[in-house]
Amino acid sequence: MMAMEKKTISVKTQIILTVLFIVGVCILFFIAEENLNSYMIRIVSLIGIFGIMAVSLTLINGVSGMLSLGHAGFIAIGAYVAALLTMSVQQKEASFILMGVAFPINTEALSSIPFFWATIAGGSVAALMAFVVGWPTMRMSGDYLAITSLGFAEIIRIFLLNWNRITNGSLGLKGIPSYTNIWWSWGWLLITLLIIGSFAKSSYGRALRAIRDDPIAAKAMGINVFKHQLTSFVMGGFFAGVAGSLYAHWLTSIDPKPTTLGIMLTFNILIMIVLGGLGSLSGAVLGAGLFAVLSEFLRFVESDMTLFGFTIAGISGMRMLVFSALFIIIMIFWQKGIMGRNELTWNALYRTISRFKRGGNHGK
Amino acid sequence: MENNQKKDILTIDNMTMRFGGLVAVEDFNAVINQGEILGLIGPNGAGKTTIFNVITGVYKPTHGHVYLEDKIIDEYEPHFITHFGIARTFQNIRLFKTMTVMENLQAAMHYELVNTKPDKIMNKWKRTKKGATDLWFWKSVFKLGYFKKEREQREKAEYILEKLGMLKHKDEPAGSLPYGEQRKLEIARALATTPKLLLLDEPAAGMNPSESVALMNLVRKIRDEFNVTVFLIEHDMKFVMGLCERIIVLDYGREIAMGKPEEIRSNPKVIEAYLGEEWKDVVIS
Repeated sequence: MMAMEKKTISVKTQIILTVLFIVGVCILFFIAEENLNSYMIRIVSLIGIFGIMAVSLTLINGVSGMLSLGHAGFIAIGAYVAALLTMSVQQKEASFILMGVAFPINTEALSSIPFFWATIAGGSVAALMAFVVGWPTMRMSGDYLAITSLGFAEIIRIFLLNWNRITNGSLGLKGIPSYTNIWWSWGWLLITLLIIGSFAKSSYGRALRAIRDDPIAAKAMGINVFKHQLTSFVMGGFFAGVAGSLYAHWLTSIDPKPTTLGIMLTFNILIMIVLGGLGSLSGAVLGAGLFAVLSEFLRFVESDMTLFGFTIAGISGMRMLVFSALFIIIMIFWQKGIMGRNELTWNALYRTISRFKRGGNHGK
Repeated sequence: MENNQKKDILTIDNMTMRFGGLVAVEDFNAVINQGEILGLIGPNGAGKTTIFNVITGVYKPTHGHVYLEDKIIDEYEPHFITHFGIARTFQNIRLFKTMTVMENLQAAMHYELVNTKPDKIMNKWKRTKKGATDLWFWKSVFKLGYFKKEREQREKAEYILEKLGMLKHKDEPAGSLPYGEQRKLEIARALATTPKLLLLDEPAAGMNPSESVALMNLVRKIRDEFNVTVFLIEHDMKFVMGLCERIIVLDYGREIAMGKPEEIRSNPKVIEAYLGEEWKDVVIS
């Protein structure tokens, strides 16, 4: 028997490759900004935003194994906080036609704040909210946690809907400055991946995966299950808030409808992470990319088509049908998502390439 | 040496555990001496696993106390109990199945990074300095001084795995190991928490005779190499009689006998509990 040698690349090479990869992506974005139309560029930045949402939910859902359905609640908080901070006083006065603006947010000090700090603030408030929500709910698990977190997200949405003097009620916020571009969204995605990736790969990440596999055994091995789950929940909440801020400045108008910042968004993110593979961060980004691209580029199926000389009128909603069918097909072929629980690392890539070189003697 | 042998590590004092109207364990007293291998046997439903669960903090006893080296531990959460130095295995294997063997052991060492502050009175149990939690959280995320800790963890894990003869499996997922190896991995994982007292819940369950003989030798080896005290539950009489230095017999939640294996074997009460009244005379004669 030939000794199985582990194919690995040194840490140094991996770092160099990663930096080169990031530089390469940056150059690609420069070229894209020059050549693509603004619609395409918007889609590219949307992929980044969806990526952050998916990665943060992966930390909670995939790595820690908590089925949280309240992600859109944290996204909404981040979106509202950041949007209120970056809007100018005039803009607020103009759009709050229902009951006027309440005191703290109509001051100069809390308006027209730089985008970066507004995003940080949005993330922080979302993290705080995740802590408040997580404190009681982290004592539950499985279906109970799912329902409770769903309930909390709805409570947040109802608050946004009815707190007229702060959130402008059902009209929502309009005229949010359109700050989000490729650089902001992908820059934040990079930060998210670095921090959550580093966390998930550390001893804490291992403890979280241990809790996911068997909470009772994890407790018996000295891991404070509650504290660790709360930490990951708050961390996921922070980046959900960040994604919310980016999303608000991408949409430029937000409202508390279920379809924009409500339950539908949560399910869309869930689709992304299941598609990419539960528990895989790179899978989450892949899933987000696939979701954003498919949902936009499948629009052509809704236009009028000519088949064999007959013109068929476009059916609106057809896109979602094809979309769902595609997902079902993908889930049939990749039952654990595209990446499963594996990560797309240089080592994995290297191993795959060297396997191909040797003629695929390990292949099925 | 003689003095050292007599030192007791765990004392269970007059412990009663009730679940509603059901009395699972009643007035149970036990002293576990440092460095011994103590067995706990009894028919099904006698309350053996309940005693383990009380020691490890899963259940809070209705009456009585559990002391670890003269300090009350029965009011603490299970994870604190592990910090104090008690580790356990489970009757039905509870490994972290999707993680590799190495990761299983490293997860068990994770608590060393985390600050434990159970109580002011319990100050003595503190493993790490105050504020270690936050520090290690950020250190883990930003990888400051982290690789050194990681390397130490891996070295310790490799040492344990080598002693148990499992080093060759270290990068395999725990769920894909054969049954006997999974049982051994549970012990290895418990050892990774650096326990003083190791609780084994039916370690030989589902093993064939040769495997269980190997396990007997392994448990003795572990006791000597890692300087732990072993308290185990087992149904396999050959295993218990061959391995344990002292045995406690439990029936309907009450201790009915305690002593050396040969004393237990000929104790009429034990035979009655296992075989019934009518067999008592047959066996003894």
